[in-house]
Amino acid sequence: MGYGLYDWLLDGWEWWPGIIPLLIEPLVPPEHIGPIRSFVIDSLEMTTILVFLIVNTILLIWLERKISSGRAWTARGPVFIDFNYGHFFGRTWKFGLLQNIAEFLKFFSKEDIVPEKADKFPFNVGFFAFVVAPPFILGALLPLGATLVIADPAVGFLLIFALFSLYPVGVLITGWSSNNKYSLIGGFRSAVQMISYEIPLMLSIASVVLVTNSFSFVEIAKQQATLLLPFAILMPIGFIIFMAALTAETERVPFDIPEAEAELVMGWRTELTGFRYMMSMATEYFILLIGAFIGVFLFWGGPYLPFNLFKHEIETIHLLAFLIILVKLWIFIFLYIWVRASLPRVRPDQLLDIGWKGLIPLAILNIIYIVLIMLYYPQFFGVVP
Amino acid sequence: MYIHMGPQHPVNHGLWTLKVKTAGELVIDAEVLIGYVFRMIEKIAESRPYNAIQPLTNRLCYVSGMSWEASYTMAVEKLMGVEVSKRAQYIRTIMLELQRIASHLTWLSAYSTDVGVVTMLVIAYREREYVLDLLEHVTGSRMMYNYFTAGGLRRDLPQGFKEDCHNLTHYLEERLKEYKAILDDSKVFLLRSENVGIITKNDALNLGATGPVLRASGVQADLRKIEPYLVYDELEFDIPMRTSGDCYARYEIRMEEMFQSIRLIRQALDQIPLEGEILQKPPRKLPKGDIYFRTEDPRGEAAFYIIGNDDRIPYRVKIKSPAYSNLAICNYILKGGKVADIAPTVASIDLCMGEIDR
Repeated sequence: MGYGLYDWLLDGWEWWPGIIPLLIEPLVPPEHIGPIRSFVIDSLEMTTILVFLIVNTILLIWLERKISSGRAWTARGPVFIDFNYGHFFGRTWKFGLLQNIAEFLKFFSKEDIVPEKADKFPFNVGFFAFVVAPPFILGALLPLGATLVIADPAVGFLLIFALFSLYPVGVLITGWSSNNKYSLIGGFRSAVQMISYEIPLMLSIASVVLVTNSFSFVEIAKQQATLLLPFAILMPIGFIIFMAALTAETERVPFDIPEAEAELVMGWRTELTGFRYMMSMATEYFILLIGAFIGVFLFWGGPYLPFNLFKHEIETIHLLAFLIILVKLWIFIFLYIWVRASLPRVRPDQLLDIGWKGLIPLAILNIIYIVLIMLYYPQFFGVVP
Repeated sequence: MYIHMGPQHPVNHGLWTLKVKTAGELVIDAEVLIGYVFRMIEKIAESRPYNAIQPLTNRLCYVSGMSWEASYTMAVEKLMGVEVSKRAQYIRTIMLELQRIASHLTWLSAYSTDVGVVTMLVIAYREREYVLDLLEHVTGSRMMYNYFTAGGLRRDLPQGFKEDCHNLTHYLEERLKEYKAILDDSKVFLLRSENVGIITKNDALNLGATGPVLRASGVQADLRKIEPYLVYDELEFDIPMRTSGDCYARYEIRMEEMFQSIRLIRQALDQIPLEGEILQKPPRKLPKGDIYFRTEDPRGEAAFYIIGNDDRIPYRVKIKSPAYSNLAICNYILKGGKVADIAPTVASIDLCMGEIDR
């Protein structure tokens, strides 16, 4: 596996990094050259996906500020800090694309305040170990094309959800250890919410797994290409449950009760300042981006278009597949931003009601529907008995 | 666990503290602590000529200054026995109803933010700006109008006011219908508002609630109908009433009141007499005697008790604030609710700290 983007770099004399294997040849035994070479390639590929994800996260925050807190609020969002595109057609063209980077720099220049009576060790370590770090491991599993993926293990996105479920632990640790009542309530709310929405999320995904018999993004996307239509249309209930549960998992409106700013000031991140606060917010958007990735591959057919349009081209031209994924990703994200601009937030007990009494029975119903179809009309999902 | 919400906390729009005793997410007890913006307005009023008190009454409430100066001015006029011309009365009515719309729009934005629709915060404020623009055109100020005065009004309506006001009523009616639809069609908004912060009819009467809070609990009490002051008895309008007594009923009442205000403004614009003295010369001194005069503020029953002493300076000015009466029911309706319900419940009462602390 791997993108294959960097293989040629280390092959020989054509390009200067190719010198690395030659330089280390006298130092290490010949059987270690191969692993070292693949280690360098893997590092480069991990850097690529990480840069891709971080750039997209920054753009996602920018888009949200442009749409949700911009146009929807009869404002224009960030405008000034941007590249200089020049002055033509009678106006200065600026979109505020660099606003977030400027603000990240500002957050880093702020004083890092640890509350005096906070529990120092969990406050410092728990936050970074459980909230910030886990989402960054996931990059390796996300495909950037029809077959381009760094690692495609058999457990596939189960690993993603295993790492996702570390997030509420970190939120609870941070909220509890910062010795603030708002943070404490926010942390517990987050834990409750995550636990109860993990179930419908997994059940909605289970229906996809039942049909495709796979945990791999690449494989699931490929099977949707053979079905003519993506799973979002073939199993709409599952898709809606997935969307709702993902909203809760990413703590966004209408399920943003862990940081309900009306009553809990800033929820579990009340005591976070400076770069800690910045990292907590950036992680939230990072998780939304990964969630959008999952949604696009599981329910929107990944890089493939409905009715097998350009299937051969998508599989051979990597750039085309990459662009299709990117467009679908941003449409998916736009839906979430739209929801945020238009809905109120629910109450914690109503949230649990929706989760346990609404989504879970629906998800089970969805699975029954899938199972019945698989039993009596398997051709519907392309399964030839 | 005790949670202090205030004096600086997003739940309270203004400076006050809500001390909440909670068990998990459940509110066991709530205590209201006020007094952060006490400015001795009643005491200062005892040392000023009666016409110099009026700028103080503007500062009682920062979202509906007009209704407070109207209340004070009319109380003084009644004490002195001054009769204002019909034209001035019509203009006053129009101004008061415009102020009511502006105040309710502020409330709408505050309430929507507290249930989580931050978009409505901006939208409602945008519409309020148009109302304030009109008020500024007439009075010269957006907040401290100082327009009413004993004997009439400081100046006549500007040119083109009638057309501007008509246009504004049509614009507002269309937009308000849209916003009402946005919120009413939202299932989550209903989840947050219905059956939240319920106050029954008996409790509302016993605890002294006034205004939209009382009307939402099933009492058809509006001073514009019960004791018509100005020209309200010549105009047609309905008093909205709901019986459920929850946050949603209060929301509906205020939305309906805005439509009724639009109706009132249109009628008043059509019937306004062209002739009439705008400003009569009032007597220099307040006569001996006392007066209790009440009006329907956007928040409920606002009243002034003024004792004159045959002097320019009144002996005593007592202010009765509707928000203060409604604040008293606050801890009562919060008890037994959820922590997440505090924000919409408190917001639905429509508090204004300026007039509570005075």
